[in-house]
Amino acid sequence: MSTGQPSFFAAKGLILALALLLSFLLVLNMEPDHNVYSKWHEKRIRIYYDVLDKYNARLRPDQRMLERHKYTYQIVQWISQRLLPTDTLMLPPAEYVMNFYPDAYWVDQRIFYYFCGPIPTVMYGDSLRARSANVFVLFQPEGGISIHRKGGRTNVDSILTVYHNERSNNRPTD
Amino acid sequence: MGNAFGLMFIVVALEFALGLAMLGRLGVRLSRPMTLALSVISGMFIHSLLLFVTQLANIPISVSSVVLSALVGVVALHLPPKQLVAYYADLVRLPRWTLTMYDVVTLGIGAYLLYISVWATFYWPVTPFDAMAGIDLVAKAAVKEGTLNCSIYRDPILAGHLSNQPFYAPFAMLQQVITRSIGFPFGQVWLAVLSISFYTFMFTFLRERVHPFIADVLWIFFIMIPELYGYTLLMQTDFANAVYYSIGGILIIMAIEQKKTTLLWGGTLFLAGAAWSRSESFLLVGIMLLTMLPWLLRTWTLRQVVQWFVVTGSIVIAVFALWHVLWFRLYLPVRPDTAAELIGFDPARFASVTGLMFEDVLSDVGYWGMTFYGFVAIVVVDAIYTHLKRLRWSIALPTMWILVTFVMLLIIGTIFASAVVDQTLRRGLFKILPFIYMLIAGTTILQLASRRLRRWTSGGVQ
Repeated sequence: MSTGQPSFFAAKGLILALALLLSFLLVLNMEPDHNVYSKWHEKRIRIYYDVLDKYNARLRPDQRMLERHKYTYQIVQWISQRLLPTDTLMLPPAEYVMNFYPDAYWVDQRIFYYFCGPIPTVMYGDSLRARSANVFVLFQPEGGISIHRKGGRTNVDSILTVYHNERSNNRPTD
Repeated sequence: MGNAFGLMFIVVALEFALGLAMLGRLGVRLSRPMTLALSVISGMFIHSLLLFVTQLANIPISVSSVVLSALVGVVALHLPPKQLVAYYADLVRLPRWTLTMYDVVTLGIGAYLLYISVWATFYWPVTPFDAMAGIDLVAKAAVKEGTLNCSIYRDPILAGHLSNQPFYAPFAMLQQVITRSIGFPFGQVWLAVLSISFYTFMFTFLRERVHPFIADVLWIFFIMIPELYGYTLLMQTDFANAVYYSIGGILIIMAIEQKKTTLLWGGTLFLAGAAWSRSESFLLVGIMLLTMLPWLLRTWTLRQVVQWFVVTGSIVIAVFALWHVLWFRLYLPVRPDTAAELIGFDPARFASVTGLMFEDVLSDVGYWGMTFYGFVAIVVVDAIYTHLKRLRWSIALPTMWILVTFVMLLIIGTIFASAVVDQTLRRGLFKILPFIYMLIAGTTILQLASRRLRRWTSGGVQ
């Protein structure tokens, strides 16, 4: 059965190969500011080719977690390493965390569990279990983070007020 | 890590053998590269089913159970071996595939684009929220504890906060269990195996519909669909589901076109994979089977169609029920509240979902590149050119899969509270993309261009 295809070194095959390659390069480079394929190639392909060596030099799982989840990974690691076996952490409301960081997905109990394992946590707003929390997180505007235990120097009620105000201020109005 | 790659090679080889043997048992005869690609894809599905069966039998998850479940499956499928030996012999005898220079350029471009996807599945940890809160949350604990019925479902810390993610259809989670068990710290590399196999399938499939040069161009555009490409490296259920659903549909279309019953059974296998990889797919599959009935009845007798329809429907429902009924009711201590998700059909919500789908999703070239605009343009030009005189099956059948799947997605977005248009439905559209490229390849204008190209290129060698 004839496939109608030229043999590998046929001139017509070469012409089509060149046409294909040039078209591909044109699609990726034409009007880069308005061309969706050009933008996609820059953001999703080329950017990684440029830094593959850098990434491949960091192969340890914790290094890769840090590369991907960045400050989120640092925050959950920092907090989990400072908790005692008897502690129950109150995960702050996302609205509060987002004053300091663009993403706050780690305040979901399942995500904190995914990163740190079975550490007792309570989500802010969980009225049934909120009273069991004895550790609270505060962020400083200059970039610091601190944890505070019930009965410590910081009044826990003031932390809860901060959480409450942030949630109230950011709640969408009807 | 070298050990993990070695084990991965063994597991993929066993999955390939599983899939090839199953295709052989069903008598599915396709081109060699297409058979090889479909063997891996179907083998991954069968392996995950077998691993799940070991769990039903309370055999702990470990490297041994992962490898042995596939090995036992391979051996079982080869008993008795006579039919398969003949099938393998035919496969080896198939004509050799000759590459042209533009094919080499195309494959080079494909390799350049897909290399980053493959690398990312190996390098990056799991990122999507749904996967961290569900698929991989369960898989991580399951590997650690040796059981799918793991502490995630009973830990008081998570009680009342699980939502529906840990209950998603199990294909992606089981693949995570397999790749995590054999030593990859974040799993995910199975996604690379699946996507490379799927793109290989599309490469060969498009070449069978249109001149290889045009197929090459379409294939490159297919890889460059930004959103689809994104989910070759971001772990979710949607990409895998689209792979099984679309291959199932394509095999059924090919079966009708070529009047081959064996391809219909091949379609059954992949549609079962669709029901195993996403919960609502059994509904979609059911509707699509009904939609195909008029064409099936033109090709086969009523008795043959009823037989295939009943068996396929039963297998799809059984695969769905294995996880959602048997596992949930007899094994897991908690169940998702699916009834609370159902909000009934509201025409106003349907109109809103449809509007959002067009405004926010379909029209966004950032998601789809020029796929939808190009598709509409080609179909309109084709309709004008042909004056809609002759609606060929190569156009009508993929059109039905596109339209009915699209409408069903809108209905799902209407009746399920948790189905968000710009997330759930956006990714649901992956299922129709292969049919769109199939339809584009089948349009009269591309068929005409194909014939002219064929005449031009073959003129050079004759």
